[in-house]
Amino acid sequence: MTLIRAVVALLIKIFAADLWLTLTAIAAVALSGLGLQNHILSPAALPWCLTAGVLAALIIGVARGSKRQK
Amino acid sequence: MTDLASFATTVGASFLASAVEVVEAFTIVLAVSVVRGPRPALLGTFAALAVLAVAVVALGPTLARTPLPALRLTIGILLLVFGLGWLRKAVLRAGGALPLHDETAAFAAETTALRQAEDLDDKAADGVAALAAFKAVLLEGAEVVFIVLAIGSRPGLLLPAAVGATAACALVLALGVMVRKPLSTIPENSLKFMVGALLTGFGVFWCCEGLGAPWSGGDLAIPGLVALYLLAGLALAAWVRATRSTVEA
Repeated sequence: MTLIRAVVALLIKIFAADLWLTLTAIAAVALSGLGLQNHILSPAALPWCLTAGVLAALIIGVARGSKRQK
Repeated sequence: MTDLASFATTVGASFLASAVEVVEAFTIVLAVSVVRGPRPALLGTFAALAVLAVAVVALGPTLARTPLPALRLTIGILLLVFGLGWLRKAVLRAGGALPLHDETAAFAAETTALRQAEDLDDKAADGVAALAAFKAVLLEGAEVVFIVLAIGSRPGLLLPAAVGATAACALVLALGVMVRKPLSTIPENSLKFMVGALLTGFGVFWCCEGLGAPWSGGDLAIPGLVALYLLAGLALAAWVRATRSTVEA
């Protein structure tokens, strides 16, 4: 029972500790994929867009975390 | 050049990520060994390693049957979520917004918890201690296994990833056996900072490959992505530090 609780806690720690960051990262990938599928993004532009999206997620995640601790 | 860059990045990423996890597991196993002796510590450790080995053997064929683009996309997203989480936390710790992880404090907390179980009879107390070691090695080990499988999921890179992880385990254990105390002098947050950037870089790379839009430079893009996220992290840590000192002043 303790072990199951620890495994669940680990999964929560990994994926839901900052749910916002997790969802933003997944959204960045999903939006890039949709953009490619609907020909809004070219295959050459997708890596740059995804890189920028992930960078933006990191910046906002840090800003939120820093604000929460003040 | 591309092969060398892939090899070096894979070994480095696997080594650093595994070292962080092994240090955390070692602290708990050491606490068990100090309070209840080496027997329950070794029993818990080897039982957890056996469970991990069975999981790897069972999962291996499933992974091999998964279509490559879907596998790359799934691994990419997991690495991204994992890496971004680590990087964000390391940035906040480096900037002073979160307290640093303290292995000495973790060791003290674990030994206190184990000493509370000493009121039980010897067999039960040994069982509690072995379970603590088992849990620590299983949970931290599962993260190592995931990282090694994810980083080494490109053809020919599983071996370098495994070599990096094995070297990290051997080094941490050798250091631990020599000093016989928590490895609190290891700059854990700096390692987590680096690993966060590495995993995020790998994650973006794999997501692009999984979506069918790979980087034009191939594997050479990985060091570039890692450097970008590392520099961004360092700049963000400096910004957090600066805003905190402004608020405090």
